Amino acid sequence: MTTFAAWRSFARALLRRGDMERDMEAELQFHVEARADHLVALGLDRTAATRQARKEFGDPLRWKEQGREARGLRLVDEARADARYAVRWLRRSPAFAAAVVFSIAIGIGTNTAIFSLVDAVLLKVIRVEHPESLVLLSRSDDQSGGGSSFSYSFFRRLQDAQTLESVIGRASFEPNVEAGNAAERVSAEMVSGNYFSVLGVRPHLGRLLTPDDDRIPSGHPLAVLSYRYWQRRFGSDPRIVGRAIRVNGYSMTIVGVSPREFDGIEVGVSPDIRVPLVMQAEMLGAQSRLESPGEWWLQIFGRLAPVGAAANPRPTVISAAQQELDAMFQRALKEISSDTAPARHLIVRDGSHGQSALRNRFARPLIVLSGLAGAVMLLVWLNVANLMLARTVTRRRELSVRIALGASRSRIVRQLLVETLLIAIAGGALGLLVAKWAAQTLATIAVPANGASLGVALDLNVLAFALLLSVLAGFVCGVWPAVTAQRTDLVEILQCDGLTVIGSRLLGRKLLIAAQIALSFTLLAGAGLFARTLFNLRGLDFGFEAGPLLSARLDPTLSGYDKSQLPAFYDEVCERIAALPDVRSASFAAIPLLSRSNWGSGITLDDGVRDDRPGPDRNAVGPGYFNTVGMKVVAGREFTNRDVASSPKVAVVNEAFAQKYFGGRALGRRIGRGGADGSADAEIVGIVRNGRYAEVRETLAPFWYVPYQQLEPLGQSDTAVRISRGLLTVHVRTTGDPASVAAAVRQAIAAVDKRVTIVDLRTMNQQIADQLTLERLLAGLAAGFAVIALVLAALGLYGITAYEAAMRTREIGIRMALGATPFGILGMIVRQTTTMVLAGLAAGLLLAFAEIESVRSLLFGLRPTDPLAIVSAAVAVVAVTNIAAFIPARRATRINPLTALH
Amino acid sequence: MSNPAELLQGTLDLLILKAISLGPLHGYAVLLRIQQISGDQLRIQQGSLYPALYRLEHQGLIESEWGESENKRKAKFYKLTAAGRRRLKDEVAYWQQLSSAIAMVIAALPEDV
Repeated sequence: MTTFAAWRSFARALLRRGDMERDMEAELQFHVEARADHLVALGLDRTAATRQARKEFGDPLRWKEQGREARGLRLVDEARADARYAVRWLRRSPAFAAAVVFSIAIGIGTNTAIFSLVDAVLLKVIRVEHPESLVLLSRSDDQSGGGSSFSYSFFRRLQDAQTLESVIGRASFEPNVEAGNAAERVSAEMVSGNYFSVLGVRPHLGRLLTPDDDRIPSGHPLAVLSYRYWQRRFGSDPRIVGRAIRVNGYSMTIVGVSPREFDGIEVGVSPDIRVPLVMQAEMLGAQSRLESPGEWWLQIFGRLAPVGAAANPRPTVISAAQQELDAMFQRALKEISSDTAPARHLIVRDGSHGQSALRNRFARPLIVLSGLAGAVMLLVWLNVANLMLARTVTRRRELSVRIALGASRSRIVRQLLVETLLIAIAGGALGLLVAKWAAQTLATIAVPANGASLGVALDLNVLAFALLLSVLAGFVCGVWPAVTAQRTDLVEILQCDGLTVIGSRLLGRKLLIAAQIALSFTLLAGAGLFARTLFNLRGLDFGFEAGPLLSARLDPTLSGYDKSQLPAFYDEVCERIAALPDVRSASFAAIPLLSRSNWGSGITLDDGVRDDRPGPDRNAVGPGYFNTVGMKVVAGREFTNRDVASSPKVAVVNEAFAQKYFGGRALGRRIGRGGADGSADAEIVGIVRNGRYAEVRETLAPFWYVPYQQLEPLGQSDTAVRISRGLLTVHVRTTGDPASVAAAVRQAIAAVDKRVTIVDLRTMNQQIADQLTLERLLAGLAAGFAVIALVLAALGLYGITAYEAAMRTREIGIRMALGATPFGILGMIVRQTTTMVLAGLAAGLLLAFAEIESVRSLLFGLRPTDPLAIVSAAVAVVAVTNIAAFIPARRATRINPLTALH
Repeated sequence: MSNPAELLQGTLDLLILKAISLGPLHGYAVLLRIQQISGDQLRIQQGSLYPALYRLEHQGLIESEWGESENKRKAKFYKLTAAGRRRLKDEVAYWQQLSSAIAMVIAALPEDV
């Protein structure tokens, strides 16, 4: 009760300080006057009475000071004085203040940004009810690390699993959606009826899908919009429920809008619309996959049954679930009698982070990046420590004087703490700005397609933690030595300029600098490795000419061409484009180059050999394809417009194919797709150079081509469905800059058919650049970090050398007077820094070797011990540190013995 | 008049609370009242009254209000709060216990031991 009163009174005193001071003044004034009145009444004259009253009252300043103290204001007053003093002190040494503030800002900013990205991609728990009990099913033969695909019949069967309370199935797709008279491609998700209820999502508007919307195949043409899509596309229209949209041409009724905070369960993917699973055939415009156990297309999440989960530790629950589900999976596998398929198992994974295609690809680079950022943070702390330590020596005299004048030790510590805090807060605020900018930039660079939907939120815990450690570093190195020193050396310091205590302090600083050099060397070596990797990848022979290429992915679904009409459509598009100015030729392909997609269907050779595990990848292409993309035909011929459906079947293979299957003599041999019904019915009419097809980093592998016109009826895999429906890519070879013909290409396509959507139009170089974003990011950031590191280390070295030289002015003067040459003096000073540099390099080399394993998989075309990277890092460190030491050393050689000894 | 006694440490608060409990007073009047009711036996350095008043007010035991003095001057008047009344009671009880104990100690005769 009285504590509350005390806080209130303290707050009032603090907030209405002026009022309080005036009141106090008036009250004391009144007392003296009242006393004087009293004395006058007792017979004194006014002047004497006033004097007497003042004397009796005592020193009003003292009472006021005690009054303030009584109200708890003393601490505040002192803190204010401390802050004022600190600001004044920092203003007097702006270079020092700026160095500390900026290094803290850079360290904290980059770390916060990178850890925020790590959090978004790797750590973030999806925003659904009880994410901790969600599991994600995957297969042992699936390397993606995310959720694998399963069949719908297996999904149905899982409903009986004892260890799972509920099971949800989902599949993403990218349909054309028409609303009103505008069509656009959106991100969409087919979900089981219980999807929303199991995840605990409640509608923002209307209703969400329920298990009742998922009963009859093709019987529930309903759609739920995401909040963002509703807002963006329909202007948050509150009467949206009941309206119809056409999804891939099929009319669906909107039943509701999902809430704003619900992003779905795939990291970095926020579907715009969700439709029931049973509408699969209509949504994809393909044959239904619901009844065929061999079609694997559904990702499955489960919620663990609460009975087991409550009683047992989590690993036990998971392994029990895995045992049961894998047994079910094995039974399902037997039924589809996949003859030669290798053994595979079902794996139950933690589902609380959702499913992510990004995670697997990004995990390693992000971890390495975190390591680099951590090194920078460490460096920043070393630097702050070093700077503070350097200040200490110069401040010790000042502090000693203040102590001699009566300042208490705790008061001094408090004041130094305020200074450190002030610097840290300034650094933290600046760091927050850096982090905010860097996090978004990183997300968009790293994940160009959906960086924005990644939802990178600044991790303020990281920021606070880094800031705290910076304060600690500053305090330990700035405050503590200053305070302990004053205890012992007060008199000494005042007498002799602090010279005597410098030697021992310098050892600490030298160690810090050696550590900085070690870290900068490691960062430099890493930057070298990543830069060389990027260089190797850029300079790679792709087997085709990327420079003049432009590619456009087309979606003619809405035009409803059947399979026989598609070749004619694409031929016309290519002819029109080829007729454009600055275009040399155009052709099309089922699988675009370097788009991370591949398509294999096994192979059957004319000698009866079959290779289905998994066999070479292939592509179906249009006439003149090899000429257009610049893939050299080394033997035979390329596909022409005479290779049509009715003409003899032909094929083209690459050199690796010819070598592997036919020992190089492949022309005239016959091949065909694999599988039980595959037959070797196409004659090899050409051999082309090896290339990289799906990814920049892939190894050279056998590959074969067939004319699109001669393509046999395809199965139901995602890729096969896309190809059958005519979602192909047109490659355009230009004479100049491919980007400049983009608009004309767009027009040419529209001129053939306005209803065709252009999904993606970009130059091949852009596509390659997109594939190398991670590498670029790593190389760029590592280089940036390394430069920061080296500059900090060099500044530290410069500082300590200059300081030492200044302290030794007298000694140098004597040496020179005794005949030492300037060159000798220079050598003497530089030699001393060499020890630091060499120690740092040795430590850095050890550190670098310790890190080898973590970066191995990120490199390309070189080993982690690449001598070029390591030697050039060492050379850079030696060169920069020598310059840093040379400048002050040279100044020392200009010392005039006469003035130095004066 | 004998020499006024110096105040014991910590008793000023009690005296102030007691003085104010008899009716709202301004600072100078508090001083006069203490002197009056103690029969001029206690001497308080005048200014030291104020830090004590502020401390009591800070603790919520007394509260103040500006008013007009008997000499028509603007003066700040203090009065006891409920918490102050309770505290006064406790302090008085404690003081009486202490003083009676001390009285007993100093009244002790050799045969009592």
